[in-house]
Amino acid sequence: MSPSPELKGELIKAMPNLRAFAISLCGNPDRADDLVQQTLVKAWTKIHTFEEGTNLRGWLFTILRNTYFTEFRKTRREVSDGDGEYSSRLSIQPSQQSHVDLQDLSAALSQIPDEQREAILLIAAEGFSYEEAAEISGCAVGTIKSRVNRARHRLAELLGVTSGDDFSSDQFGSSVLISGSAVTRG
Amino acid sequence: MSKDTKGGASGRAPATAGTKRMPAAATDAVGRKLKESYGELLREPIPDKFMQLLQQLDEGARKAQGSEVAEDEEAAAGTLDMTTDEAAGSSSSSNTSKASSSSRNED
Repeated sequence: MSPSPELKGELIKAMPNLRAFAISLCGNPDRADDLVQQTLVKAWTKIHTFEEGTNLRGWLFTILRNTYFTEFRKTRREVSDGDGEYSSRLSIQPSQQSHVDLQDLSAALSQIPDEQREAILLIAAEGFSYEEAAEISGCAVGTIKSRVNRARHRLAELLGVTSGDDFSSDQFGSSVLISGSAVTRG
Repeated sequence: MSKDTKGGASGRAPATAGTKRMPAAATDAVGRKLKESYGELLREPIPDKFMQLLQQLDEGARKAQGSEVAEDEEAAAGTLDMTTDEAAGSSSSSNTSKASSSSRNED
C-alpha cells in the first residue's frame, strides 16, 4: 500500500523539517540521519493509519520523537559523542556571521533535558501550537508550556543572555560584559 | 529597538520553580536565536539517501533488492507498535501472568 501522490509530496515537503528536528534533538547529524530514515520507513509502513487531510507533519513528528525517546536516547548516552561533533560541524561554516552563537546554542541545547529540548524545538523552532506539541509529545498542554518556559530560561542562563540585545552584540559569549555595566547603549 | 515578539506569552512572568526570573527580552532572544539557527538547518539540502529510500519504498523494491531496507522495515514495524502504545499513555496492559502459574508442588 503506497501513499497517494499528494501524500508523498507532503512527505517530501516535510523532510527538511524532520531532518532539522532530528539533528536538533540528537545533536549529532549521523544519528539524526538514522532517525529520519527510521521515521520514513515507519511512516511508510503505517501510512494507512494516517487520516488524510489531518496534520501529516504532526503525525510524522510523533513517529520521529517516539523513535527517539524509545530507541535513540539510550544509545546516545552510550556513544556519548553527541555534542562536540555537531558543534564542530556547525563551526566549519565560515560564511555564517553568527557561527559562534550557533555553536554555543547547539551546545546549550544539548545540555538541557530531552523533554525540554523537544518542547522548545516544537514550539519555538517548528512553530507548532501548544496543543499540537502536546499531542505530538503525548502530554498535557500545561506540561508543554512549562517545559518550554524552563527550556527558555535554562538556555538563557547557559548562554548568559540577560537582555534581548545580548545576541546581537559581537562580544557575545563573554559573560563578564553582561554582568558589568558596559552594555548600556545611548 | 525593534521588537518582533510574536503573539502573547512573552510578557508574562513564567511560573517556573527553581529557575531564576529572566527578563522576557532575554528568553525572547533565545527563541529568536533558536529559530534562526533552525532556519539554517531547514535550508540545508536533503541528503540523497532519503530520496532514494522513499523511491525504494515506493517501488516496493524492498522485497526484491533492498534486503537492508526490508530488515529495517521489519524492525520498524515491530517497534512502532511499542511506541504507539506508549504514546497512548503507556497502557500498562502488559500482563505478565506467568508468575501465578507456578504450582509444581502438586504431587
